[in-house]
Amino acid sequence: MSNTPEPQEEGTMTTQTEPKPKPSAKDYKGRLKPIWCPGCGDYGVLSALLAAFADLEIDPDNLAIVSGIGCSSRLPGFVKSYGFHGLHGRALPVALGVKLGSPHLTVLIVGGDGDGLSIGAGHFPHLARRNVDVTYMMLDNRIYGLTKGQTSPTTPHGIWTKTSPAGVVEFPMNPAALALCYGATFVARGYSSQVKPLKSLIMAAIQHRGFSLLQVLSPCVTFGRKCGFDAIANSIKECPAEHDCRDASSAYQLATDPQNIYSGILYQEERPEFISTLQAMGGARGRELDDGAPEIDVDRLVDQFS
Amino acid sequence: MNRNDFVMGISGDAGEGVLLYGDLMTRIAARANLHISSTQTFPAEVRGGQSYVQIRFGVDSVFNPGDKLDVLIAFSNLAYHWCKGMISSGAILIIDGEPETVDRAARFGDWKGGPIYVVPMTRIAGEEIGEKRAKNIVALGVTCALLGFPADHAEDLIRRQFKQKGEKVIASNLAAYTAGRTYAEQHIEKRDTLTIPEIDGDGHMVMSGNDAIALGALYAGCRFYGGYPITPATEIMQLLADELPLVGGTMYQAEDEIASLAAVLGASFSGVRAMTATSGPGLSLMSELLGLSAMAEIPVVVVDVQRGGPSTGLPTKTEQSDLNMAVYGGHGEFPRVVMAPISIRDCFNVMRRAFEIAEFYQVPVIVLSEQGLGHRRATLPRRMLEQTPKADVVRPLKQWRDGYARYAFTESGISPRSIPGDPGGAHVITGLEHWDFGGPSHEPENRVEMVRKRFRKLRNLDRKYGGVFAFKGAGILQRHHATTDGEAGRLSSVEEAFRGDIGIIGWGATAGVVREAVARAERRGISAAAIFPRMILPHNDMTIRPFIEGHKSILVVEENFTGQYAKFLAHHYSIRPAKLNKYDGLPFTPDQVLSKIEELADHV
Repeated sequence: MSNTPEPQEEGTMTTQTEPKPKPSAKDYKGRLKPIWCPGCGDYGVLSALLAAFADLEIDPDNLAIVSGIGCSSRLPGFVKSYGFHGLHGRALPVALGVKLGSPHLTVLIVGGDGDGLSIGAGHFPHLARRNVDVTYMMLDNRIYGLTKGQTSPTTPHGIWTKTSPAGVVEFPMNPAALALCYGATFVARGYSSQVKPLKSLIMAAIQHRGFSLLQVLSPCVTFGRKCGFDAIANSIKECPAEHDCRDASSAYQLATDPQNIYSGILYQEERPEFISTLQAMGGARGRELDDGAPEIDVDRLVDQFS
Repeated sequence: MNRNDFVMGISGDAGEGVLLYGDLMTRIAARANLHISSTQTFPAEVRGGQSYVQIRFGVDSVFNPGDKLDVLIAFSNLAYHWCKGMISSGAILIIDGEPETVDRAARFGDWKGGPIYVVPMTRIAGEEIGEKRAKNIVALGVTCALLGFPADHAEDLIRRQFKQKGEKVIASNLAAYTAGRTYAEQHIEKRDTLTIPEIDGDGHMVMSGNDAIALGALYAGCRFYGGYPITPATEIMQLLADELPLVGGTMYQAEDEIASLAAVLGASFSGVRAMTATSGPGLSLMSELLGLSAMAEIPVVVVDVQRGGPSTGLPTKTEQSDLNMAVYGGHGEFPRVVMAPISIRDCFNVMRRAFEIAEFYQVPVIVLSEQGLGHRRATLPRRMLEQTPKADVVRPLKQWRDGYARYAFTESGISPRSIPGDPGGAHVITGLEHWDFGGPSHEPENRVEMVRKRFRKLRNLDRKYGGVFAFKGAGILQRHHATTDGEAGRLSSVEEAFRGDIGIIGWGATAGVVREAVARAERRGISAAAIFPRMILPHNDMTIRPFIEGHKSILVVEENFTGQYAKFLAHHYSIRPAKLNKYDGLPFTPDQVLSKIEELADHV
């Protein structure tokens, strides 16, 4: 054996640690350095994210970032927090389990367009309709980057890729519009090059009590050059000031606008959150059972089975 | 006919209330201090086709639903024809019909049994209750009167059964029951000698294998269940949907089996004891996540209530054909534990061990039950739930030192596990091969050490949890490597079971039948014994090898076509065991196993 372990455990927690000074983005940097290509949009997303954590003063010990598989799904390794880099397409149900297991955690999901709209597409509607209090950042680069340039569910129609030599036959999916249809209570769109507005969107998404989808357009500089990001840089627009984000049909119109790509909060509503609804019925306490768990009612069970 | 041990079959169309009749009958008997073992079979569709319940009643414990029927309750002529070939000589028939006008010669000319009672169940239900569907409760009243069951237990159970449906429904079912009893008392001249014996006691509980698994999980500290409905496992989920919220837990119905196990892994990562239960098709979908559980070292318990496969197969029938998938399924190589409960009592007990192992060794544990066990019912002592200690639910937060590494290399291979919320324990788990701190790594030396570390964890597992259940004559014992555990240990010595002519090895739910076949064989002068491993994987060579070496002939009994466990053993011991296989969807009966033992005995 090459490695002898140090004693790892210090003991049971008894006291709270002293109040810490206000954190900065650097305090959330993980042990690993990002391995994305130079110029990748995901760098912008990461720096917006770390700044958002700092502004919200989120405790890294009570933060869990869950991801799938793909370039963007490597993100948990670059953040100092609990992380779960699991299976391709399965980040959403894992995150739901993490949140149900420890409802006090801030739970963030990071994944790509292929992860969330192709292999994992079956989970997206169900997390949205349940209105679980997690934030889903879909980093949309319109291509399969990690496998080096195949068609993704958001690749624009007609584009050449390695698996669409005659141009993509299908028409792309629209994650923000889908989230609206699935019943998400917070739907927003951001752009990796606009770090400051993105940071504000991330903060709003985390603070939203319920399921929030944040689609982040994040170009792949290596394989996604033809995917229309140059145009996006010029055409992306903030939602009109008069847009009422409680209005679902106008949110849908903005999300699907054929000319412009609108960024900002498209939709937000208050609806009972999944876990707090379960908790109101006595269940879903997860690790909070540490504070005292209800006993099994043995007499009732014996009677029930007699 | 032996009033201390007899078998009843109830047959009718699906939708006629056969299952409810069976459920109430088992509980009535258990309250009268009889032991029961019952099985049910029904079509995959809700209506149409045969529904059938078989109940064996015993003054002493009964371990399987028995062979030939001593009593047949037939709800229709068709139901009669389905079952007329399954009876013992002298069997009693209770059948729906008009006693005055029925053409007995034409209708029952092919009956090889004893007394026939033609009872106008449908007419009584229709005319006296105004609800023809209540004929099953009328039949229950008739049967209870004929067999001599007191009325109060049945009435109490009927009240409870229909509580949710309101007073009117309760009253009409009570009336149906009483009408059945009254009819039997006034119009049936009893022409048989079967009356139940009076036994002292305060009654037993009745539980199905699925119930026992759910309660076993609850007692084992499970507080998260993620699942997707699938026959024949769904009852586990339904019971936990009622029970988990009462103890602060969660039953989560996911969108599919992949999401089920993914959520279970998430909850377990968060530090909550978590499980799922499914059947073969679901386990197929979960196989990638089982690998993640082992790779990321997240504890998880997966129950597979097997059914006939492959594909959609036989959803409501029994089979033991997922052993290969449990033992070998999934891509890559990873440590895992496979256990197979042998009885309903063991379904309850096995969950405690499954959760302990999963949590301590940080591995996936697969528990192989099957339809024939999940839907089988048995009596269990009322004190079982009172006397079983309850596991702790969650551990308190812990502080971790600087440089904490989630996958630290240790002598045992088990690395200390921090849980989100623990200060200083932050780490990223990944399904990629990783360094000790969790970061991805494909460095060859580290890869080798990590593979070894993961497999090293199970090195000593079978010393603590291995061993077998051994059966010889009427005896049972559990043999561990070092000690014998005297659970109902009536065998005079451990070694007795490990030497003889015919050694049977089985796994899982066939134990109830095999132990009876072994006992009957001994009464016929055949030297036979049987063992069932408490844990299939890791394989416990130390107990199975001496059994194989101590017998002249080895027979492997299992409900599949290819002999999956037989091949597993053949591979380990370079032997060619005799095989007894069944894959018709129905469990073995003691007679079937006994015939094979006799056949082998002729050649020893």
